[in-house]
Amino acid sequence: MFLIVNPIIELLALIASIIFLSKDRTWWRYFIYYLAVVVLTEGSATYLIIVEGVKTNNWIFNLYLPLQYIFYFYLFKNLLGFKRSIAKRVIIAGICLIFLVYALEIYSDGFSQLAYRSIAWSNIWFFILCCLYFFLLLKREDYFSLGTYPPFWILSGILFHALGSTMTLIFYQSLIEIYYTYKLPLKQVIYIFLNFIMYSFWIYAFLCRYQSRISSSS
Amino acid sequence: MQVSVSNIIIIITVLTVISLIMVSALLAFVVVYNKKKRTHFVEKAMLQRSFKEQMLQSQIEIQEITFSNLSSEIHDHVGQLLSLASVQLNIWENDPKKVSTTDIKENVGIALNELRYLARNINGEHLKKVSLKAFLESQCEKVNKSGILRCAVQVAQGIVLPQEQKIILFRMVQECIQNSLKHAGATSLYLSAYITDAQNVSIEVRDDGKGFEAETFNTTAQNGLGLKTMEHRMALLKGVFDLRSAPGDGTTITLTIPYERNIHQNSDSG
Repeated sequence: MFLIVNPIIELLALIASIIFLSKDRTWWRYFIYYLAVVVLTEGSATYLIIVEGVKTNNWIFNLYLPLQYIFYFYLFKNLLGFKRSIAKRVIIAGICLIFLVYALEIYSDGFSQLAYRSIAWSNIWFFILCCLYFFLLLKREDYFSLGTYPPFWILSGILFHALGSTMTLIFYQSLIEIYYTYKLPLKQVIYIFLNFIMYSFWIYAFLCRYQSRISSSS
Repeated sequence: MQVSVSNIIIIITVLTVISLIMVSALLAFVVVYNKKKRTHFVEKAMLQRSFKEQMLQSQIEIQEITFSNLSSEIHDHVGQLLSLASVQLNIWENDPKKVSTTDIKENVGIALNELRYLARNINGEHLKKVSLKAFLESQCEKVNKSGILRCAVQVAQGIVLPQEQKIILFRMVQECIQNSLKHAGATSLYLSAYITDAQNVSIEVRDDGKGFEAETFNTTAQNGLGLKTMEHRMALLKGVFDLRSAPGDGTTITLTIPYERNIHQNSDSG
């Protein structure tokens, strides 16, 4: 039953993005396409497990991971401003490192094994980029009302997800073993909780973005 | 295996919770810091607004004083000269031998010069272009021409005043000179400007008049008001207003403002 929770949360985020961002003429509207890919990936993976009864659906996630990395780095590029030399360096270094780890992992473990090491590295990199963003935000002369500032909520969600899921990735093999041996879905429960936090933050960020766009255009 | 499984579960759960607490703490720090920045921002904006309001108030006060001085100047000098010229014209009409047209022309000419001088002085844009040295010299020349007292001026080289402070300072100097002319009963007036130290420039207006008890003078409402206003204006310019006087010892007013050498780019030379 818990398998369908994640697709539902992600579907709600996709619906919110369509409602609030479809008329947005900036890069924010790419959230719609990204979330559509997320729902499609999660939906297919869930369908394969529940309906088709396949043992592993990791190849679907392995296909999805490069898209996620590209979108997240694109997101950071827009939020941090690529002209800032430090942000540019961290983003380029991150792309090179994570795609290298991903390629090596797929090469060594095959496509049927989840490239979880690249996910762990990406989580560390996203954490660094989030900290860099907050540091630059606090360093600025002006101030923002963070309660209604969309980038703050987007990155807070990513930060919770990235740091919260790092432990499950470090103990990934043990958790898989526990799941298959004792039927204890701890990893899935943690992911449901983290996804709930992240997508709730994102939905709120989309709403804030919509309101700010409406108020600035009126 | 059971122990090891429960241990792993506990470790993962605890570490995940710690990670989430860390993220919450980080976000809380960002929010609190941003709130502090916001408070600081609002306070700064309020201070700036208050400063602008006070500057505007000060400029209005200066304008009022300038108009009042202008009115006196027109009435006492230009008006008198033109009245005299008018009387001379009447006499000339009746008996051209009693008064020469040269005298009438001379009086009208003096009145015109006075008017030109007043027009220049009232024009803030003109004052902005004038250097401190040129301004003090012109004021001194005017005082000397009045014949009421002797005036001397001394200005150190290289003093440059910021544009935004210039007019207020010039008007204050004019006010000090007017006070010496009208109330001091002095025979000589000395104007000087000098760099007191690396960070301050002072403009001094000194007369050898009857002087007064500076401390008691401040407490009388009527007299104290003008001085308090000057003191307030100097505070707005981040400067210091200093008044030294004693009965029989004359009066020295020193206006000191912060001086930065790099303001040359924003100011005219002098």
